[in-house]
Amino acid sequence: MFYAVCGIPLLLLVLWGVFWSIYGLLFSFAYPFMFLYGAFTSSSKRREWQDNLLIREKQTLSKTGKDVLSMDKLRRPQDVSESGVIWTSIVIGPSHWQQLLAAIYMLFGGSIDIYRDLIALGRSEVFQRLREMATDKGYDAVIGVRLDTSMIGTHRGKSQGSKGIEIFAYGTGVKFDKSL
Amino acid sequence: MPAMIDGIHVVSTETIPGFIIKDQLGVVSGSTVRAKNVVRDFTQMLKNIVGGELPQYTELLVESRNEAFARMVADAKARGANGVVNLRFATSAVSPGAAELFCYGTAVVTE
Repeated sequence: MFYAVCGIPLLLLVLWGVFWSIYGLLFSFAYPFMFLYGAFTSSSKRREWQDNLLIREKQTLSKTGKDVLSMDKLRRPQDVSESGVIWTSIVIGPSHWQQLLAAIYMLFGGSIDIYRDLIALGRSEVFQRLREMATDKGYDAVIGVRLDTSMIGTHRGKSQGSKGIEIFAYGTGVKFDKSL
Repeated sequence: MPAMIDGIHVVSTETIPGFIIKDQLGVVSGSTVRAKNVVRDFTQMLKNIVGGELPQYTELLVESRNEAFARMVADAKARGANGVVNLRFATSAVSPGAAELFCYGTAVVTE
């Protein structure tokens, strides 16, 4: 009777302990490799992303003629046949290597170029996604575009948890009446 | 996110092009606080070591915004509006691992 009542919770407790010890062991082995992988590849990955983004921007530009995004109001609202709000976002996280470098730079102060480059790239990416979304939905222009940046993530202690920067863009897509 | 959702026309500009606003029914809003499950947090934590985009979190935030948006639209519908203008979004991290997504706008009656 005693074992029937106490056995199952005890077993679960033991399994929980076993799981975390295996996880801790694996994690402490794998972490240095992941860290180094991130350190070696993060700058080349960023460059690749940047090149890819430039190509996509050129493609959309050649399709639409001019940049579809603008923060303006409409100059001639009577031309519009359809309108609706669209939004898109991206969450980017600096790698632990970049976080370490940034922490070292922060001791001296000044411009933290690692974060600046990453966030600038994220902004361009999210604008490009908005352009692609607008052209996919058949909108001719996006007006009243707004950007919003926020920190999200799970800060559990110093080394655990992730650090994410969310960049969010939205605007009103409009379709022009071609018959006018 | 279609142009018309539940018969409510939502834009982020001051007016809905091609429609005349007859009446405004006040500010409508919708919000949601969401967190991803432990497994996803774990995989994203691993992804974070290497760096780059965290796709699960992007997806989570898009889903949550859709939910907040749907609540706002339901609010507008309950007031008898058929449009929402001046839509704005706001985000805040209420606690580690959870984010609040909030959207608000002015409910209007158009013809």
